[in-house]
This record gives sequence, C-alpha cells and structure tokens, in this order.
Amino acid sequence: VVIRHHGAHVLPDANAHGLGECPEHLYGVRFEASELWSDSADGRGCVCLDLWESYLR
Amino acid sequence: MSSGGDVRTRAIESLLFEKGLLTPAAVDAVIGAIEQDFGPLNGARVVVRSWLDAEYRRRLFADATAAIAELGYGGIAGDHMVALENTADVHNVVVCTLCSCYPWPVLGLPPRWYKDPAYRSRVVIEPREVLAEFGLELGEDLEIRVWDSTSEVRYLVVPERPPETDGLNEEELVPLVRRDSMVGVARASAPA
Repeated sequence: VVIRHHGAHVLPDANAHGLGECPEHLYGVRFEASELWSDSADGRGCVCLDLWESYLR
Repeated sequence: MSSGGDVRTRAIESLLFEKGLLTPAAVDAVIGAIEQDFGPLNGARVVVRSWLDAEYRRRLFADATAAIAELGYGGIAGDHMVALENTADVHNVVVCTLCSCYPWPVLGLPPRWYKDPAYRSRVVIEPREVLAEFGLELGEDLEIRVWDSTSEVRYLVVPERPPETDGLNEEELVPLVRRDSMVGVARASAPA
C-alpha cells in the first residue's frame, strides 16, 4: 500500500553508474509483516520501504 | 594509523584530490560539520519542542525537514526528513537494510550496531525480538513499524513523553531524549 509520496528524487541506480540523476517519483510503501513473513511469530507490524517509481512497475 | 583501512583511505583520498574530484576544503567542511554541528542533542531539542509546543508538533509531522530547519538543523544526510510518531498503539523503529543511512544533522554518525548486518536483517524480520534484546519489551497488541532508510529520505523517531515529566522545562527534558530513543530501540528516559 502506498502511504506517502516523497516527490522526485535522484535514482541512485543510474547516478551511481555515471548515467545522470534520472529523477523519479519516490513512494513510501507499506508491507504487512504477516504478508512478508507468513509464519512469523513476532506479532503485529509492518515494513515501510521507499521505492522509486520504476521499482513498482 | 598504520592499519590497512587507514592506508587505503589515504590512498583513495589523495587520488581523488589529484584527479580534482574532491578538494581538501570540502573534506574539512564535512568533518567540521560532523564534529561541531551534528549530534543527537539536536534531535533531542526537536523532540522536546514537539512535546511542549502542539503547533510545532503539527508542523513536524507535516513537514519534518522544514520544522527541523526552524531550529537551525539540516544539511548533509538530512535534507529530506520524515518524523515518526510513537504512540500507545504504534512503535516506530528505523534501519538501513542496504548500508548505514542515518539522519546526520539530528543524530550525528550512526552507532556501530546500526551498521551491523545482524541488526539490519533481523530488525526487519523479528523486530519485537530484536527490541527486547535492546531491553525494550513491547506488548503483542502494539503495532511495530520498521522504516527502511534510504539515501534520499531519513527518519527521526519521536518517542512518547515519559510519565511524570509534566513540570519539567525544555532544558530538563532534553537529557531524557537519548540517541537510541530517536532510532526507535529505546523509550525516552525517565527523569532521575
């Protein structure tokens, strides 16, 4: 679930290889722990990742 | 000074200078900022202000970068900040799974454990267990949100104000907000 839009940011995957900043929209995406780790005994929770637009396609 | 790491660092530094990719003045400026301007005392002042001033608190959660800049903090590794609110129902904890991204202006440089591969992987998979190892026991009904910090966005956890601190002023509250509470592996301390 997308929970936040951080605006446009430098895409490190390109910039680190000298290919320019290639800015993309960056989104905060929430994953429920129960969906990531189905057999988790750790209880209620989630993992929030910042993902560039091209990661979501 | 003669360890392999030091020698390698110096060799890389002089190569970068020779190739004109870096200037000694730039290195000095970064080291100066880290030594003199950055540190967890800055973050503690942000947290305490949010405890004492409801309007500041609202601004902090709406636009953390701007609210932190109001107190004079910002710059390298802190120019896109997000503040995370701990409540009775939600506990936030921050990690950088890739490396060691950390909000320098408000927290300084990260502690060794933050860079440890075990912390970086385990806190994502079993945060309740890892936090218990830090001495922070959280009930099963509490939701734990794990935030993966990136090169772009850095997170500051705003711990809950401890009980029995109603009469304390800003200077008395600031020492209660330690680094670990702003990464999310501890609560704010109780008054002495």
